[in-house]
Amino acid sequence: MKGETILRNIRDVDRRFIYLAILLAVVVPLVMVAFGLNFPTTVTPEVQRIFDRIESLVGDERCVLIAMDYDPSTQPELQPMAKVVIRHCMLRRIKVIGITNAITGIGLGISAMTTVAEEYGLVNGEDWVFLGFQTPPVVVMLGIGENIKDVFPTDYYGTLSTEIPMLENVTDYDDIGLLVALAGNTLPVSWVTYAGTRYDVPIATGVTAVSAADFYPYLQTGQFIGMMGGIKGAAEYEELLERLEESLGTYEPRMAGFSPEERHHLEKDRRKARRAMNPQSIAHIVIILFIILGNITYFMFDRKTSKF
Amino acid sequence: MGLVELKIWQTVAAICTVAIFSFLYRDNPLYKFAEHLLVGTSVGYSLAIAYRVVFKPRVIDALLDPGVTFWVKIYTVVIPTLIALCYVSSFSKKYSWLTRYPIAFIMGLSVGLSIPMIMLASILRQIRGTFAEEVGGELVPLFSVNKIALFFQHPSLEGFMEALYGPAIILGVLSVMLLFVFSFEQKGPLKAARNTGIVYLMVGFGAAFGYTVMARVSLLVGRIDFLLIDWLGIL
Repeated sequence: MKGETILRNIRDVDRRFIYLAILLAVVVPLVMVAFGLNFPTTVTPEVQRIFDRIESLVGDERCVLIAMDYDPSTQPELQPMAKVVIRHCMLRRIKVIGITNAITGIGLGISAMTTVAEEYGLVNGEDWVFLGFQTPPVVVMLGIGENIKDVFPTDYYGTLSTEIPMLENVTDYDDIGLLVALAGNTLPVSWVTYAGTRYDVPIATGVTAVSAADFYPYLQTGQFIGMMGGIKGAAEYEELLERLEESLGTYEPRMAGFSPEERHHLEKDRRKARRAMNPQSIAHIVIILFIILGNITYFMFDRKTSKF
Repeated sequence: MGLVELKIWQTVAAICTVAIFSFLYRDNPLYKFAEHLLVGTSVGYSLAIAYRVVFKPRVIDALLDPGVTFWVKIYTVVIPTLIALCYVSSFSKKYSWLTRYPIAFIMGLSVGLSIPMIMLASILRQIRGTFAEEVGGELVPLFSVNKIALFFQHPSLEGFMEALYGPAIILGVLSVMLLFVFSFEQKGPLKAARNTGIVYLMVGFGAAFGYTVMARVSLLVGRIDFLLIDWLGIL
């Protein structure tokens, strides 16, 4: 009888207690990171393939084009992806071109590129370039196939594209070794439709978790060479990059050039996605428990009176 | 941006974050203020960027360019701008019919550009992907008797998954498609196929739900990460 009362109380619990439980499930594991609690990250083949593709471009003249087609509403998931891919390219001295099809994503795009470029001491216009925003997306996607400098006459800072040294040998998709489409909407499919299908450029994507399930069919057909799904995808890539830096032995010498405060800030930034996986895991467990409890109380008390 | 300036803006962002989260307790004026502030700044920012990136270079600068002849400016700048301005007529009841012209133009252009490529990318390639996949540049059938035979010769979990992968996709696509055939009563073997289709759909919806939870939790983690780490600097 006492157990039944408890279950009835659980059934009738105020939704604000559920919010509180989720908040605690996020805050506590996040704080526990400071005490060394880190869940291991396992790498999935779809993320590994993006990593391998970028590795295959080392020593290649071709660039990586990163379309950062997202805005602040999806920043927590997609900004770590953008940063880790840019970081990988810059570590391996692969030239990076950044663009965006999201008008409110310009600030995020330039922030991701400048932050990582400063970390590696790379020069705008020579090692990387952010061409900014142009519209509409279909014209941008098809236009790059003709001449990227026609679509983006200037970069974000207003420098003429024809005067940017890095773009001297870049004309169209033939000069792009990999296109990485990061978006919280269906734009990656548009990249497949207009750039991948017509110009045969290899495309990888990074998408929000909420839309990831929709993109798997394109992964299976090879229209995407790889995919980062949500913050988990970004965390996997961070793990791969850390392993690479450890194997290359470049991390410590480079970090020695920064002050302790800068280094602390950089290290926090480099683990952003992996740090988010601790609260993710705990919050998922809490939600699963709530679903189980909700179903138990439903079958115990409400099943007979339910219309369904 | 200096450290003090950064902290001030971070504090503004932190207050806005808390104000938005306060809605979870109940609707309140602080939440409404933050909500309106978000919408207002987003629209204002977008307008400013649209002016700077699109309107100024493509209309004002193009009109003032001395290197372009009068008639070229008419064809490439004035006429497209006039068509685009027809959108503004939606504010007038009397002239709102003018919006049909830019919409018709955009629709026609988009459909013309899209249909052949969408057919290829999202229909033909997807149909092919149901029965075959590219491995190392070669097209391999998904249903492979060799893989099944290999599993029976050397049983292992990996071999089982490999053998099951292709048939599972083929079975899933066919059974889900049968589920949406409404032309005749579904009984006997068709009912079994229908039930299989329902199982596949449920698995699909379950995966989508799991991913949705992950996405929403990611947003919450992002904000809490900002409050605890960037703003308060406790880690």
